[in-house]
Amino acid sequence: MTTATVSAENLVVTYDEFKALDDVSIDVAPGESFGLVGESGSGKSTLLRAIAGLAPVTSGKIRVHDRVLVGNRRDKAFYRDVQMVFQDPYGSLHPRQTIDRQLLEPLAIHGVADGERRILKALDEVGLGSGFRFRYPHQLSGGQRQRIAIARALILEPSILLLDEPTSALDASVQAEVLNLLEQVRRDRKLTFIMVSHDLGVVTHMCDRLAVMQNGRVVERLSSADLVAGRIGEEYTRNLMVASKGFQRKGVAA
Amino acid sequence: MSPLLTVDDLKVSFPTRTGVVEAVRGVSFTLGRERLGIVGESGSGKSQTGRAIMGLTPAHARVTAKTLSFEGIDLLSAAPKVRRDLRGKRIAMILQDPKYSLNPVMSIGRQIVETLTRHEKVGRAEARERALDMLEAVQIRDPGRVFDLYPHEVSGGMGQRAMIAMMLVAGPELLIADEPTSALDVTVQLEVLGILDKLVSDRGMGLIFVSHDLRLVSSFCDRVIVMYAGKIVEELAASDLANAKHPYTQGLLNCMPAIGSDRHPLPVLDRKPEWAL
Repeated sequence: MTTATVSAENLVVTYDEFKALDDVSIDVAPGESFGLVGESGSGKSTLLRAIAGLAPVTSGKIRVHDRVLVGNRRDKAFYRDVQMVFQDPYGSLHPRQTIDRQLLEPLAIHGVADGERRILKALDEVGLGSGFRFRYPHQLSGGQRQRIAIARALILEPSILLLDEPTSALDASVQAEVLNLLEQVRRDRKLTFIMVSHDLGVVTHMCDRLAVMQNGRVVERLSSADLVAGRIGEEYTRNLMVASKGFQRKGVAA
Repeated sequence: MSPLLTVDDLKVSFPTRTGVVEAVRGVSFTLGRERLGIVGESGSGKSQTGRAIMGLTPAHARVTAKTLSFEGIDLLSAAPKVRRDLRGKRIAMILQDPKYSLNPVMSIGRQIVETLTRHEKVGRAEARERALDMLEAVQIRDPGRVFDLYPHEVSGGMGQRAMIAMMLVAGPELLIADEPTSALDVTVQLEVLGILDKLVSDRGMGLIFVSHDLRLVSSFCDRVIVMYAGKIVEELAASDLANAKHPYTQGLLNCMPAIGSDRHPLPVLDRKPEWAL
């Protein structure tokens, strides 16, 4: 596919001797929501970080909007277009800066003039009023913090959002709110999502297509519709599917 | 049959600079040799309920109850020595994340042996033997090797099995599992739950399973208590979950994205202030 917004070709990432990503290729179409699933250590987060320039790429090609990205050098224009939301909102916000400062930071870096308006708009968009503007992260709940992290990613008006387990640190009830918010902003701004999750339920809810990863490789690519209908090729995917259905007493042969 | 554990009007509150925070506000239930699930969001008081039973509430907190008794022992008026003897021996607790709850500078084997020698008069050889048997019971393939490993050298699933082994080696009658699988991968979760389920039913223990995942709890437990803002809003048999009456319980059930159900946007909880009354 040449029309892909984000593509990775034969990507290899090694940490010392360990191959975190082993010959991985994905293509994400414009406006698509693409899911990466797998257990911890499968390389799904590493792939996301490699795209963002946060992982040591040994070989292979990453292309974003037809621009080939070399190594892990990224310029400002890239970060204006590609933003990331991390897993743990307790760790990804500066504990001693107000929400206002944290939202201002990307604007200052990129020299955006109308900061005032953008901050108010971003807060409004994620469903937090301007009353939250001068609070500190510890005064917010986990769900509210993740909304701030999303607001910070959106404030530069990117076209691609990289989401690394955006709801796995949240309660089930709060997860629903954040997922709804993400869907809403994707619709409104026609964003491209690449979303990492270990929860097949979340990924099939959010994504059109997904790649299943294991031990640094993509073992299967399929559409959410295929997954729902049970058209699964790999045993590993089937195991994940069973696991996501919850505990079954009879199923445990132990 | 008299119940294993009786909890009547349990309250846990924390004095803070800005006033008293009431984490648990009058929780009552009895537990026999069965599996009881306690479900709620963070801050609902579910973990504090478990901790109060175990006697692990921080010293500055205030714990009160009309009754809090375990097999006829009044836990609130019991001497610290009595409680220490109970803890680990007759009431045990599995915590969420083996990365933080195991001692990082002690080998897994020594930690299991420590539990045993603290509560029973056993020789070193026998203690080692029983620890190895226990590691085998939690389906660790090479117990001899794992015995000498340190917590950082094993995976999360393995660490949690070691934790279960450590908690069950002294043969407790009541096990409190506080989110025992939330830190684990989905695929590993089921294995660990399977092991836990088998050991609990083989040994006829009482189990309190604390989790925020209503669906998981209902598939694992016989009975479920749903907590909101420090109170029990609903108590029902796990098989009866589909007929849950309280809107909060229904909300918790509905808000999970499930494979094959196409609901956009997901229903969210509409928290009513009167639920917290």
